[in-house]
Amino acid sequence: MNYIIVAIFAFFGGISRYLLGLAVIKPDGFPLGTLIINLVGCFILAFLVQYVEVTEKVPEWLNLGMKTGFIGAFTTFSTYSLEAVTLIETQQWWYALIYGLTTIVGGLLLTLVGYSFGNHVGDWRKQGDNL
Amino acid sequence: MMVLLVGVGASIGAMLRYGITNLSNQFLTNRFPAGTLIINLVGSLVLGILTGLNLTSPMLVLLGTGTMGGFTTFSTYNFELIKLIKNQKISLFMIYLLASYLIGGLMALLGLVIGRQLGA
Repeated sequence: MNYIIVAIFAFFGGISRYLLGLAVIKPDGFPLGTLIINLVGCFILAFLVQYVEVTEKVPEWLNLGMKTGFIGAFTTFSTYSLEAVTLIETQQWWYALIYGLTTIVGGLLLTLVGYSFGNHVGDWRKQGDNL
Repeated sequence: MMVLLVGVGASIGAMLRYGITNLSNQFLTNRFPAGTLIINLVGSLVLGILTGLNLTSPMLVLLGTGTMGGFTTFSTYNFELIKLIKNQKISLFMIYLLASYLIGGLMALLGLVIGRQLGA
């Protein structure tokens, strides 16, 4: 049953990634789409984990579907690796450097920000319920 | 049509990821996120091969964008990195960070080379 939940949510996560990737312009060949997708995904995942932990209100199936299914399939590591290597191969050194640094630092940063947001929003939600 | 191929591919990839992560937590250590590391490195290699092969567009969209995109994950990887920092496992954090990015890039490059050879 868990596998089916993961599959259904991943179906939509993958499609969202594909459509967002098409919608974002690639200025001069810079893989901006993947960068935005991965950073937004980091924020949402950390937010969800912390929100769920604080409020203890999200059912297990929804939790699994959103985190492992949707966001797991929305973000991608393989496309990042391939794009970074392609930038190096085509000798676009600055783009390779910028892509690498923004991905590495941005991913960690947005995970921290999402974590902190999830904490606060979860707290507000809990306090609101207790009034 | 392409949209559906991506969706189906992503479902398959995500189920594989879920299965491997479960196995890894059960049989390997759960002190280090070995499952995600293996998934991301294998996924980078396979996506490189698929791209190098010069497949038709629907095949590449199904297997590459869909399956490998859904199989590998960036969000879980970063969440695990932050968890290692929070638990003050600084050397594990450094190993996980460097191994993923450096070996991931090498795997993609190796995959491209293999794919081009096979596709030529």
